[in-house]
Amino acid sequence: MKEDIEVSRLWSRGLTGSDVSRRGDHSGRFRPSLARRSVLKALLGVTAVVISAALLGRAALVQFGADAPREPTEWPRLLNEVPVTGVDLRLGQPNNSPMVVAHPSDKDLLVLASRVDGPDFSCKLHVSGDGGRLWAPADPVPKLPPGVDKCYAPEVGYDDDGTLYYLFVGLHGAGNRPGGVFLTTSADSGRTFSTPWRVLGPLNYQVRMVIDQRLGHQGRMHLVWLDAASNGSLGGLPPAPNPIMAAYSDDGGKTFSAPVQVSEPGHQRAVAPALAVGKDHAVHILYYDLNDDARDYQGLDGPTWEGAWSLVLATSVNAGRNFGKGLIVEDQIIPPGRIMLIYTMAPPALAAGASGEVYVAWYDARNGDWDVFLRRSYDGGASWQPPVRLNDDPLGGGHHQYLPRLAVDASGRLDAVFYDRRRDPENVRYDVFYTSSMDGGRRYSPPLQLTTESSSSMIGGRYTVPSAQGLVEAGSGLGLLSRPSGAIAAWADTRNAWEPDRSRSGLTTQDVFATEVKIAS
Amino acid sequence: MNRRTKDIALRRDRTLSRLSVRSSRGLRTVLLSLAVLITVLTSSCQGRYEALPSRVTVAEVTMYEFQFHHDTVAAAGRHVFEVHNAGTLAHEMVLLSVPNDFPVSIDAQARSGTPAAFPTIAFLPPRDPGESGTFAVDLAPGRYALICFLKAPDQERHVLKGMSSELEVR
Repeated sequence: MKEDIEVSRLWSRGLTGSDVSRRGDHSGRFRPSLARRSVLKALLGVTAVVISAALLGRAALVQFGADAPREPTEWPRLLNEVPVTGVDLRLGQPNNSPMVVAHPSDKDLLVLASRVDGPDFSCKLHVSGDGGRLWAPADPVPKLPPGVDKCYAPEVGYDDDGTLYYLFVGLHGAGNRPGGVFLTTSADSGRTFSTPWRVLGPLNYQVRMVIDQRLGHQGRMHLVWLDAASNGSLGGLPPAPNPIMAAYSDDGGKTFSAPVQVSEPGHQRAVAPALAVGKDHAVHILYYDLNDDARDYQGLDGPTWEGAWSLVLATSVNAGRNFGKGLIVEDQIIPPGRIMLIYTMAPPALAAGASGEVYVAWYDARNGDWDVFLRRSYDGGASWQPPVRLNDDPLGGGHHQYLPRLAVDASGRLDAVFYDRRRDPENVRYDVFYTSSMDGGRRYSPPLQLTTESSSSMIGGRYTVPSAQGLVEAGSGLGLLSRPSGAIAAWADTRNAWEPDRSRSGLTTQDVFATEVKIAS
Repeated sequence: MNRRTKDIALRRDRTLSRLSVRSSRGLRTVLLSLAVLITVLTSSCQGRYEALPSRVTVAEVTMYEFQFHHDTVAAAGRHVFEVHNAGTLAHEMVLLSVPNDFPVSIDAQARSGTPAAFPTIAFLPPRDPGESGTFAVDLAPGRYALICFLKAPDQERHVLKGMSSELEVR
């Protein structure tokens, strides 16, 4: 009995072979520490496998965590800019409006969507497997949907599983009317794409897409667009209202929620929405209200509008189910010139952080030349700090800064890029400048020039509509991707723009270039 | 050891034996599962990189007086030209498309004095000594030429001094 108790006590300790062996019982009949040796062997085996996997390639280690964000202790370090789109002077294509996103778990896998404004409207996609050093073309729309002649104005995003979504507007006819908005997906990094399917009907313009990867199984895909009541006149929208609408999908774009109106009757000429997801899945939509400016809204002839525009932010606190009343963030936006083509009007810049901060940026002519301004909110857009000027060249010095783009990385660092003509006394050639803030937009790093060669604002696509006389299409903005290690910026570049006869007149060639700003630790 | 203890020991022995067998099996199962998992992960990851659409060729071109130094054969697809002027004069680089059946070399054509027009695909503007430039281009299989048309101090164009070369894309 006593021995039974002793045995039972030993057994009660679990796999107690060692205890038994110390007691000297049953030598040779069984292996006292077998269980512990088994566990140790298993651990060694796992370790060996992990090391082998690491030697095989970094991809396997991606599964085991991401880099922690670091505070930089020295100025950002700039890497050489690289070409993304391929040049062909025989075509003279204006490539612009880049949008860059990263795979959710493979930080070296990037995709960049861009727009083509000529000779025919089109859309492109490029993929990089080495963090943006080299870019290869992909073919997201090898066959256009029925009734569509061209794809245009693409947007890209990834869901949490790594499925790539490519959204584009289908144009048709000589007038390039939007025949619908379509979506296609790729599960193999852009090698193959699904057959596109329609997600929005005709007469929908200025569509933007953002995927909230943190919500639901496939993430929540948010769309925002301008819903035109009818075909407008050449180069312009039909008379207001043409509301801004939003919807979302939780199944990868197969079905969408019933669209809800974002812009209110009080903002009749709401245009060019921007979209961002913030704290607790809040959805922010920022748009211009052109107020009484029917001239730009409808593409009518005439000089720059004499009045002011407004910037309005609408927020959904229930992940896009409905939106609250629009809040005027800025109401003294002095138009920087005529809107070249209302359909391609660049949206304002919008970014939101995980702690409730919201940033908006735009450019206007209140100081005579164009300047980039930023306002920030720390309470999800309920209240706003006074505007700050992001560019630091002399006030009213006669050099334009414009088309800002904002992004916030996981650590809360705010990045900003914009076009800047400070280096050209003639105010024609532009460079790309970058600045960042580590303290929620209170202080900024001195603007850093990203481009080694300036580009010309007189090179690009032109439209034969009244509003576009004498103007050149710059695109809907720059591309910007913020990550803990730094930021990747992309822009429309004209360094390769030459006529075959080596003249420089009437040029249209724009190529997308990119560079990386490394935030050193 | 009495019989009861021996019985208990035997049961324990069998149990531990089963455990050891199970442990062995379990260990093998764990290792096999991990091996399969790692294989799947790495193959899918390798598949991801292999699946990236089209390859990218980095075409390094060095410009001297009076020649282009580069690989003369390349695969079709995306090329990123990284051009560096290692000479003492400014040089440019014009990338032309040449018909496959063009009867002479581009150098012979340039020196022949007979005009011929070839489509210009890309043009890298003049680079001073030590400067570099880059552009990307998608090249289909065919014949291409690199030429510098700048004038030397003696006013003779670089191409007539031999600054042309051909690139075969397969």
